[in-house]
Amino acid sequence: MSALSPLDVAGAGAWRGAGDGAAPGGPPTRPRSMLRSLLRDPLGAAGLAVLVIIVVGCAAAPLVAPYSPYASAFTSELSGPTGAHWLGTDELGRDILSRLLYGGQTTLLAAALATAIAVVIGTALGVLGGYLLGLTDRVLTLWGDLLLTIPVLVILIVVVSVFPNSLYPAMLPLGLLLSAAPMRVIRSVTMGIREDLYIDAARVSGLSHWRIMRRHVLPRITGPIVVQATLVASVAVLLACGLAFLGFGVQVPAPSWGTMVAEAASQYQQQPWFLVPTGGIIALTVLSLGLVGDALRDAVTGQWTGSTRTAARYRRPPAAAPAAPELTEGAPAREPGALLVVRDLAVTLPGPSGGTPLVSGVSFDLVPGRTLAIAGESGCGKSVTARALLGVAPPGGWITGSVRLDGAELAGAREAQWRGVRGRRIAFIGQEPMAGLDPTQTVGSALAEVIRAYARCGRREARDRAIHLLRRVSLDDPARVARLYPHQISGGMAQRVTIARALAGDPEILVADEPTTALDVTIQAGILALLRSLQMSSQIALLIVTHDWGVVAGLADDVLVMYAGQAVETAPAQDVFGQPRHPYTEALLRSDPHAATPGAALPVIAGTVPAPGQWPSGCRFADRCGYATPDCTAAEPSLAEAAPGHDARCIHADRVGVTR
Amino acid sequence: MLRYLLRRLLLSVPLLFGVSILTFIVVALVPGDPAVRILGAGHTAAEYQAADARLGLTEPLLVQYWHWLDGVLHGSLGTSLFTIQSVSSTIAQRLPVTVWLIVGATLVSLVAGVALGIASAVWRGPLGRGIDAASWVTFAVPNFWLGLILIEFIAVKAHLLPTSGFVPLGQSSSLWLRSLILPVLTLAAVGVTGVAKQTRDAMDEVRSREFVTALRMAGLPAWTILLRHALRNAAIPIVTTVGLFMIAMLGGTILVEQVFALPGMGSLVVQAATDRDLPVIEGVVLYFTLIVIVLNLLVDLSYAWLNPKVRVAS
Repeated sequence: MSALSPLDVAGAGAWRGAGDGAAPGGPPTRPRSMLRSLLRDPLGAAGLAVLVIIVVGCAAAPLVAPYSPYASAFTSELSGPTGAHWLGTDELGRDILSRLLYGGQTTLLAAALATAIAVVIGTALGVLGGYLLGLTDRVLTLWGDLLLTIPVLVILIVVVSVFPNSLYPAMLPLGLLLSAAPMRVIRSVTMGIREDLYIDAARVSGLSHWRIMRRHVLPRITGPIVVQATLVASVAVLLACGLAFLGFGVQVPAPSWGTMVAEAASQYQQQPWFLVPTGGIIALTVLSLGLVGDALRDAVTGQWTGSTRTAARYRRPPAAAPAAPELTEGAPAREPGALLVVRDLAVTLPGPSGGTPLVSGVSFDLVPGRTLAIAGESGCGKSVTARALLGVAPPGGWITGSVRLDGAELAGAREAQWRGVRGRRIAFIGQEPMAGLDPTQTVGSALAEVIRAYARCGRREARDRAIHLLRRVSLDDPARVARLYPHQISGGMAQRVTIARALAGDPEILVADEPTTALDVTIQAGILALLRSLQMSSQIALLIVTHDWGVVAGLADDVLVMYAGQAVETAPAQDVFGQPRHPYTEALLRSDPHAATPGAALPVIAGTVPAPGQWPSGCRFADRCGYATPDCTAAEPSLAEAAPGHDARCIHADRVGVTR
Repeated sequence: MLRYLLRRLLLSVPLLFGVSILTFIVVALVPGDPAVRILGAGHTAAEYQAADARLGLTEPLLVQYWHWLDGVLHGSLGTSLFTIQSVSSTIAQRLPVTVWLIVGATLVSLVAGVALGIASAVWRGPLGRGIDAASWVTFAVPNFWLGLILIEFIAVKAHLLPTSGFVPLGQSSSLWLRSLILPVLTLAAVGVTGVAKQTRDAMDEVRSREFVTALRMAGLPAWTILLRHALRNAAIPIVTTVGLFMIAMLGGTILVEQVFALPGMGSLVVQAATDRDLPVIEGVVLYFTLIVIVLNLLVDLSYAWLNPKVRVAS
């Protein structure tokens, strides 16, 4: 529940106010640069232009208004727009345009007054609370809560009735009541700035709190202050007009926007047109304020977080849409009895020149009862590959290549076709078990839900089967666990629950994406043992993604090593441990803490995995590789057989691993 | 949870005191003498004095407040200076109109807003942009003006609904409904688009979370994930927004009742403020504040219902 304003009439900003400009503090916002980015935004610039025209027109009413606001043209009462009266005349034949211009003076001045009061009070209290924190902050937050509970318009009506002929006195309480919203936003922004180092430095160097707030905090929150001011102003305009509409705060012949709407209301049977300019000017003013505020907020947050609007929009190239199975049509399964045959799998994100590949050219087979481990550093594309097997690409991305389950092509399948596969034939276990569970659902109902989605059965039966599944993943007291919410169980329990969910559809293939990474070391062994025993008992084909050679050694029959979105080595597990054929695999094995000599420094691979889109031409590992020669960067090496059943993507495969 | 609710309830006590004292002081500043308005002009000073004394207006302000407070604690809000009716019974007549307006506008905002929000989360493009544009327009258009426009087009031109007035539910349920439709729509317009926008934003946020992908990979139908999981998790920000709009709409009823000539609390307070009828003003302010407190409490309770972390912690 972030910043929300106590608006009565419009309920404006109830959503717009939320978090407006409440980004963490940044460099001081210069008014000139804010104005410039405002003018770059077409809607914001239009809003500002309209606002300037309205304000200048009203301020200069004696100069620009064609008639006196009180002059009656008795010959033309309640006329529509004419050459003499651009916006028509009212019931006394007075020129509506002139009355709107004069009437705007009181309305806008009153709104400006309330805005100034709200922003000054809100900023002062917000900075105070956000900077001093502690008791001050708690009392001020409470005060803000109280303000938000007061029915604004009722109080205003009472105040206005005290000073019958003027709106201005009511603007003081209005400003006070509206100060709660800016106060909340300014408070949260100040809290962010407070954490900044240089404020700490200023505090240590002995500057007084007052000086720090004035010299260091205030200049950096001008952005959010201006944004809040436009919000409060739009609400104040609506409330001031509402009061005048009810007949409060204005003397009868004097023009005011709200009063004119009321006059138009009493005449609408004779001349409905009268309603158009009177309500229109109010709507136009508020709309302009809103557009300016929105553009300013974008400008302010853009300044701090990098422009939110510059990200170029790339679209998925239409040619890439269908998978290209012709290339791999009939690609033979290398493993006899393979259940899932993956060929040339690629996952691509939108980007320049046809997209940025995250993963490309990955091929492997999954065999019932066997385990394939995909190993590699973070950012190599292991998880992307694993999720692609279930037809899930990162937002905006797409999957190409061939994924055949029992001979049936899955790549390019529609979402509805995938439903028969996901969970029922291929199940997934994620990296962070807690994040994978709906926090509003008990463990039991989460399991019962998927059970009922896979097979028709009653609620009671689904419940019993859920408890049975929980027992199968070795959870103590499954009936009790079934009643718990995710936040009430431990990470290890949560991972057992997601495994139970994965087993609910009795899948043939289990894809486990780093199932132990987020867990304590003591819990990891239990989860791995569970996966091993499940696989043995039901002949599941298991794909496990990991960066832990211990997991590979303990679980895997085969290994696929990935680097920078490519498979660089595939082989039976013992062969990889025996003699790796790719320099990257060799380096990874050396840096494995399990194999490290106690007391000696752990070898690390210099450099980092290049990000997708920045892959070098030729061998992608060359610049981190000890074997690299000029040939390596000349052309991209292909995945070639380095030994029987052992492929490596390296032109120096013969030389690798011999020292081990 | 219970402690939290109790804390909120305790906080409302100083609020009620604060608002009622504030109202008392403000109204005491009123320059005009109610006795002059009641008796009319042309009476002697002694006669006005006597009237003031009869109304208890000659006593010090603090004593007047004490009498009022004593009455409130004994269940009496005093009597109107003008109609000589008991304030409680006057409010009891007016309250249903305002409550129906709030209930109706809240339901419309919630149902239409959430439905539109889900639709625009699923089908982006024109629908999403349309909702953005509509939220700007409903935000900018004053509701009293929107009401007049609806009257002009739907009631006057198309004769579909009555232009104004209220028919109690007990008299005729169909006329009651017809008399409420336009005021409720007027009041709810800004709420519908605001809730729709909030719903879409909250759904977008939830749908980027891992558990939604996990459920998708578990093979649950997209609509189940959307309606049973994403919506449930998005419900708290949605309810917060609805709560704020309820409070905003409560103030809005004053204007809407005026436009549609509805005999509710809003038109009562407008009349009372014009008449400087202190007991009525105090009573209405007290009720408005109470309604806000009840609305906030309902929102808090729904948090507990929606969020197991809050509920289970109690």
